[in-house]
Amino acid sequence: MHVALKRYCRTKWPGGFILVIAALMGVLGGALGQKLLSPERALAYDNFDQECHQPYSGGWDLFYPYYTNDPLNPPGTLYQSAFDAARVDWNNSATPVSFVGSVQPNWTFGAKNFGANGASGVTYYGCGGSGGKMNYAHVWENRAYMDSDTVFRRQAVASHEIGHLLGLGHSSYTAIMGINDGSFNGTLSDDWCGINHIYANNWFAPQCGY
Amino acid sequence: MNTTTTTSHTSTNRLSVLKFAVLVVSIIALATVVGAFGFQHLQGDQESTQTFGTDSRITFQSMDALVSASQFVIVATLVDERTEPVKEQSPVDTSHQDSRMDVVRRFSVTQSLKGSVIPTEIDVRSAASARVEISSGKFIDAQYEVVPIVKGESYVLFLRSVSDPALGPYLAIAGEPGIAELDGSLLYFKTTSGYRSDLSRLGTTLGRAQAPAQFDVDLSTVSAAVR
Repeated sequence: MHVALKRYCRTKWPGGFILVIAALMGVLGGALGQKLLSPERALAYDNFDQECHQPYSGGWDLFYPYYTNDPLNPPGTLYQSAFDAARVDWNNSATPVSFVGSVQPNWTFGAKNFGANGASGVTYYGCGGSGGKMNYAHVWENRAYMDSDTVFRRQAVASHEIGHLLGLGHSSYTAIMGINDGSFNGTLSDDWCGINHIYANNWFAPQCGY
Repeated sequence: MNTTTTTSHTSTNRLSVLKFAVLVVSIIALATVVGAFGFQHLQGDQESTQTFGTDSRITFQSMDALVSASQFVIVATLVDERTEPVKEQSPVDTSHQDSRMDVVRRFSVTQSLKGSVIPTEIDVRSAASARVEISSGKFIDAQYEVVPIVKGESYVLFLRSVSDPALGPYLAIAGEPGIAELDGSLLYFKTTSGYRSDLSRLGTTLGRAQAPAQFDVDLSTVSAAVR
């Protein structure tokens, strides 16, 4: 039988070809293995966006994100209170987040005119930190739309963009990172679940009853 | 003799098959390790050189919300389309500036459904691309989707006035969905692929009952909402 198999392999499936197939299976197995071994996201939070990959969608090792205003496009009087209120809201949420003002260039808040690009706010971030962690994020409200909008909505946009800065994507649930009918401008339990999932601090975690 | 030879051959064959199996298993194991690390390394390389952007799209979950957020709802025909470069200076240091390419569309207004002061011709501006300074000396190039529409065709536009530090106020689409083809009494919304992608992801939450998502809203709904 072995001889027959060997002969069959020689004639129908040359040895080299088998080795190539084995190698391909190995590579696919590796990718699948890595996927399966990665911790799964909480059901409460669907992170849809392009993201940093390690350990989840990036973020800090510590729970005290430093920040400063964008020196070239600062929030100014119109947006400063919105960002301040949004940071207080995040600090008071059932998460370990606690913002610390500091002079450093990598984590900034501001207001910038992006024109009529369809977006009320924009966050740019990089994932070049150790292990693929997020190592910078710059948040702006889009002045084109938000200069003439309400204080309430400016804070909503600030809270939403801060969620991106912390490593969250968009959620499919009612949340500052998800569905918002305009009735709230701060974080909700789904946002907290997302943060607690990323930063894996169970003692802060609210019930994610989805 | 033959039997012995045969036995000897069989042993050799067994040994070869065993070696071959060990070799294959070893290669699979090695490739698994290399594959796993390779994928991880590839992701790391991409991350260390890329800047990701997240735009918070302005969308409306109901016809009421769309009409309410729109200062003007008009029926208009696209008569001209051009691109226009725009410079945006930092308010703090004018030596720093972003550059942007806008699409400016001229429409001939045939009917006004909401908003009274609409001239017979209007320009509607959309940002199509931008070179943005994200930190001092570090720029990224951004592309924005502009809903494709056809010259000579008539559309229902949901508009708002936008304040622009460089250009002053101008009209822009209020959000998505904000442009619709009119067919009899039905609106067929024209949307970007990004918006459609968002909708499909949120499909379980934004049901077809919520007007703009279903792409076939009766115009009478608009009129009723405007009234």
